[in-house]
Amino acid sequence: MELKKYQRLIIDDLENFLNHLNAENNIVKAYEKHWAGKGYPITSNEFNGMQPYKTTIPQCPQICIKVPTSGGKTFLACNAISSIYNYLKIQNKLVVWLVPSTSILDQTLSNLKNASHPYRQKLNELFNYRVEVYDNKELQQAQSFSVTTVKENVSIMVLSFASLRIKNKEDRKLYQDNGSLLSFFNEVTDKNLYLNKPGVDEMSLINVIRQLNPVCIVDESHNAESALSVDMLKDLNPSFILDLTATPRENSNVITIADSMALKKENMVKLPVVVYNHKRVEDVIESAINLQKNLEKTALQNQSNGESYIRPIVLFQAQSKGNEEAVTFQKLKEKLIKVYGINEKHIAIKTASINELKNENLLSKQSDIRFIITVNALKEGWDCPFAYILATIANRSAPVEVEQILGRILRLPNATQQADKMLNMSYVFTCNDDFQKTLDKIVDALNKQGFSKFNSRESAVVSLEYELSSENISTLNEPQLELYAQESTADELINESYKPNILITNSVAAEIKQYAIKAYDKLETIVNDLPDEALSTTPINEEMMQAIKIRDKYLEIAKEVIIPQFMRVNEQISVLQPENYKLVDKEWLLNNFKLSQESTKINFDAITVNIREVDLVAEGNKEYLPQAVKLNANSKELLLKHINTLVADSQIKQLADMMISAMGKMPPITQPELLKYTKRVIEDLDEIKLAELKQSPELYAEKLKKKVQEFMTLYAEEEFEKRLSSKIILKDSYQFPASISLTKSSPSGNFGLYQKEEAINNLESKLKGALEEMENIEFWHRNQSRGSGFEINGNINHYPDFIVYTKSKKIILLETKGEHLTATNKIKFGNFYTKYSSQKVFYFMVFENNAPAGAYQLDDFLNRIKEM
Amino acid sequence: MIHKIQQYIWYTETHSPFTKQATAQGYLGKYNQTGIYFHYVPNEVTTLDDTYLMNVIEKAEQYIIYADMCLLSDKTLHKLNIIFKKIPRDISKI
Repeated sequence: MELKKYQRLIIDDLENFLNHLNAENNIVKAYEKHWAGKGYPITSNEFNGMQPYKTTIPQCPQICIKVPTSGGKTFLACNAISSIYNYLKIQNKLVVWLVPSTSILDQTLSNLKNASHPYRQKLNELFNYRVEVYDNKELQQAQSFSVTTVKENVSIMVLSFASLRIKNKEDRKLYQDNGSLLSFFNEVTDKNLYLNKPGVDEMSLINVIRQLNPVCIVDESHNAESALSVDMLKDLNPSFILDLTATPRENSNVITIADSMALKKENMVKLPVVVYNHKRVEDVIESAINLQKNLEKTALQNQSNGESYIRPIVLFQAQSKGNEEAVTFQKLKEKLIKVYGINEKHIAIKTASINELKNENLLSKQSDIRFIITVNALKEGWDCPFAYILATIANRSAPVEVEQILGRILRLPNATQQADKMLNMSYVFTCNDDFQKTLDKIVDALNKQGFSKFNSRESAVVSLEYELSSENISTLNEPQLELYAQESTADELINESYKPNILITNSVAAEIKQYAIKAYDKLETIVNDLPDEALSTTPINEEMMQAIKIRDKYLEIAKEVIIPQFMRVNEQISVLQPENYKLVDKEWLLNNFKLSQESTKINFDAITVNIREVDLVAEGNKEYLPQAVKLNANSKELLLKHINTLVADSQIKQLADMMISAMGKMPPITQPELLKYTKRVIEDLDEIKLAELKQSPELYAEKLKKKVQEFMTLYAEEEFEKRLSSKIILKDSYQFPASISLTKSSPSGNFGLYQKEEAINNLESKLKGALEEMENIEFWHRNQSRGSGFEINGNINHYPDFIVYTKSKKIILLETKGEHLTATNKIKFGNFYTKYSSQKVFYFMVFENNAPAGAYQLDDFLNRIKEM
Repeated sequence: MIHKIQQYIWYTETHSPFTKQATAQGYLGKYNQTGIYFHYVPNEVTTLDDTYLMNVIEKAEQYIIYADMCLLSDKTLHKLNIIFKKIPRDISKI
């Protein structure tokens, strides 16, 4: 199993944050940079914008990934562990994976321990098969958990929140002396790290964990909100905490948000939810059974057409009534068997006290279960993709409690769209006096599962209510009519005289099918219409979810505007890249770049000063300095000691390895090429510099990286000019997308191309005002510097701020600048572009004041384009 | 020998036996809408680049391509939905 596209975006976001953390060595700043880079600057304003980073445990980055239920949280966590360790570079890799309940504990453990489960396969692949997964018991007995295994493997301990509780009477083994852990205490040295709390023994598991600075994965982290839990986390002495939840707490540091629309688009969920309100409890049962039969029939047909096995399941949610519980469940079971003729083997009860699902693998073809009777025992983490129908068996007057259970029916089997649309939705049957309130609860429940963007009811929830029409009445017999007249209660559903009414059931089924499919198509259209950027992992922002369209009056004229871009002939046409021409990009310009031909004489003189500065900065922000930095410093010291014992050649090899690991990937330069070059650079250093390099390899790496990037930039620039005369042509290419998405919008005035335009700054707003008053202008558009925006492409990618189209069919590209900004590169580049477009497109750079050569003052520019 | 390695790669990716015949360019086949490619030449360093992409002959939702090196940028890999995997020349523990 591989990451789906939206999941990859989430991991990218995590890695982006980690990169900032690596560069800044400051948790708060890294968080700021992360969001600023995504276009959401952090503000301290409480009601507006992103909140600053909130520190819970000093020196330990704690960040949160928001993923709706069934968004693949566990799989994401497996991938995240690898990203985090790539950043941390700690030698002993210990993960403490915390889960809120025993049911999730069992599930997580059995998946992670199963070598053929996709989660474990992914971990094995990421860590080269060096993965060990432990449960609490194995840790206590230290079965295969020893100093050596910890050094060689990624050790993952899966523990429940409860097992960390220090006051836990039955099970506080985590804190007790444990002889089997002796091997750790023979080697571990730092006694300062021992947990100094009453009731904690010295040679306990907790002290082993503390020595190893674990990475903590907190599953369903919203459950870990009490102060006690924070203390528990702190006691683990973690180096990094990753929260995963559908509903982050107030004080979470969210770095990425999985979009619920993306989940729909990638076939992770059964949406929309079809809700049908009946008048009587009997009809709820009957409709549920009937729908189950229909769905199963459809599934069987699909299966014979080669689709995968699905056995739709109904969840009957009975009302909780304390001690009588058991009776109600048994009664309902009997009713299903006697009145509806359901095979006893097809029914299972799952409550706090009875668990008939214990040894049942619901996804297996061998399982017979089609009906599960429960109250609220199916909590978070119990996930069965085969559960399609939720039927609430409660009195008409009682409020519907679906918050927990609704999430259980949302997961789409195999994350694959079924050919029959009915199998891509979920269904809820209720009978409640206050249907409106019931619907509110369902929408609320969806929000609580993380589907917060679906608050427009019509798209995600379809509601239908049974109306007793005269036509229907005629089909009812006397006792049935009588029953309709009175309020039926859950207990009365065992009315012996009642017989199923096929006619009503069938008409209900037809009605559901008709409306459900309509709603399904509608939601499909909405999801497919969304621009791709709207599905990226940005914060909740109602506005963002709207597709902003080209205004009707410009629909025709916008089509005739095609802006040229620099293109090259695609010499490697393939199924994947069938286009005849491709955009020129830096990658292609660098295709003949050879690092070995560049100079190895690099000036490292400025570094000595920097070494002192870095230390000072670190000193000032101790609380925000990630602990990992310190840990790495320790291991670096050890490594340096080791390096000094080596002969010159191996020294150089080791130092070069350290440097290129600090530099990270630098495409298109390959790792062997980079290594070769770095070695040559080190060989050229004098004694003093070499000693300095050993002291701060990362500063030398940074400098070298900058230098290599300069080489590449220069090379690309030269190549671009060289190839302009031969291989590069300016060719019509870019068209305005039918819709865009905006993070922040501003009104589009009289002549804005789209219904709304991107928010603008001061100078831009002056310009917009002036453009609005021009008579020769057809429309203007605030170009977006990302996604589907227009770029002048080449050795640099330049997104001009405005695109203006004049009545005389000229395209004007406009870049605005405040004062003191150097822009020589862009001006030169823009002018190239104007020249090659042969008077079709004009590029202007406009300054408010002090325009440099080649650029325009605002007034001069306005005078100029009046005539165009 | 190559066939054995292909079988191994196919099995790691799909957990099903490899019953097909790979193309000379290393296309092993399609599984669950994922095209699987193994660009391997004994004693030679293979590269995933635009030229190799010409060997992608069957459309799929995503592609897993094994090679020794990758010259495509992350951006390109994302756009074309390709997952690059380094050929595991040192298989340690299975």
